Amino acid sequence: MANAFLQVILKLVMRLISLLFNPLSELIESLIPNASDAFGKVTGFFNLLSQYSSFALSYLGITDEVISIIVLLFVPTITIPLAVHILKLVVKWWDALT
Amino acid sequence: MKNVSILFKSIFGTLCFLFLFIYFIVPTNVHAWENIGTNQVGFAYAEANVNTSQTLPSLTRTFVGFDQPFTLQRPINDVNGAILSFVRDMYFNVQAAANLTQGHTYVLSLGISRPNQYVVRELYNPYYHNDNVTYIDLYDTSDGVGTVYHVAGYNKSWNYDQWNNSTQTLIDGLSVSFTAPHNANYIRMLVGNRDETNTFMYANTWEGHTATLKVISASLIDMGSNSSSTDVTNIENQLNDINNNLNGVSNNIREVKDTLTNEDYDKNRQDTILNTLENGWAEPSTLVAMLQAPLNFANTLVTANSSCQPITLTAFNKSFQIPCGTTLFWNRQDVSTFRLFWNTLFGGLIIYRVGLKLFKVVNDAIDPTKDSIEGVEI
Repeated sequence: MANAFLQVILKLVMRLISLLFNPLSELIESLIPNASDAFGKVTGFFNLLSQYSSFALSYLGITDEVISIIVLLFVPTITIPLAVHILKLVVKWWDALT
Repeated sequence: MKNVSILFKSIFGTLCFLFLFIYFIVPTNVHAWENIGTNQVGFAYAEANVNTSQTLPSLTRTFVGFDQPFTLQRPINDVNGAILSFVRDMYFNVQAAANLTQGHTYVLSLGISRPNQYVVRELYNPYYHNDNVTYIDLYDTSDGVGTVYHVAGYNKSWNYDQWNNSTQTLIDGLSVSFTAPHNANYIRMLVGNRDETNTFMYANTWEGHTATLKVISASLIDMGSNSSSTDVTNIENQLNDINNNLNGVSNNIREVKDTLTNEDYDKNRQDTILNTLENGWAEPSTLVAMLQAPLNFANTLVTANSSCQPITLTAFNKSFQIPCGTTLFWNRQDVSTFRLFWNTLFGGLIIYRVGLKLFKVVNDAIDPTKDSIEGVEI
């Protein structure tokens, strides 16, 4: 149940990021096509990690519950800066408009 | 800032100490209160008493069933402290406000929920255990004194000699008939449960178990003054059948409860929600995919064990497959205990690390001299 809950949270955050940044991303990609290649490399690196992480973890012998706790440790590290950046961005836009 | 840090560390330490103190030292015998049912001529309640030295409760009180931690009375330990045998007594007082008429025959019936995991067991009246007779006390308070009349008509007890390692409770029907020797307006009866064993293995297995003993139904039927013994016996048997049939109801409720608490919940429903979140939107662009990559990676880790795929290598025109660690070692039955120990050790360190991390985040957030959280300037 904890896993499912964590999965839903992660998916939800990812969808929120997609909602907020897709228009900006489309704009950057149309103006600077090479930038998307660089972005793709970063994504590819994480995909490579994902591909072998489950194999490596299977040798550690830790259960999904313990892994959930570890992931839970990193979720604030990943999401809080993102949330703060988004808030700051919104405030900047608001200031620029007013 | 240093003072704030010390303050928070002190509070954290105190809370940990209190938790440990409450969990390991303070006995949990707090009783809840509940109404256990109604009957034809009054309504009854029951009280849980934890030790046998407790005095009888007054008639003006209403009482309850109870859940209590496993309590050993008169345990016999070996030189290493292991429990070799024990006797545990639990009992409670059942009483009802009822108008009883002199000369009338009554059938008192109780449905008693009791433990089902002990070897030798009997239901008895602890105050009159020596003569193995359960007395019913009738009270007449109309004289201003509260005269007590003992009705010693009941010597039935349940003796069990069986081992059942389940954590279920069973419901026993306890029906007693008696003729009122005097008019009375209260009826009271003690019901006790004795668990005892002299078997080393069982005694140690029971340690830490929670036992429950409570009255879940009660009724008092007035049979009048001319009822035959056959009628009374029939009523007693019927009431016992009803109470015993409650076991079936109880089992069904337990099945529903097990279903609700089952970790194998509606997986299809979960998949539907996840698919909606995943596919209900347009494909993310590269920038968004890059931002999502760490979260995606974290999401992969959550299902790491179930999503592990063996790695296949090809060399000299031959394929070599390296199996997952779970397949190779960790899923084996003979290492399950070691895996549990290993996970407990590892998980404990992680939980400690999470605690420190959260403490630091909160500490940074409340620090007036800092304007950043998680390394980000606010």
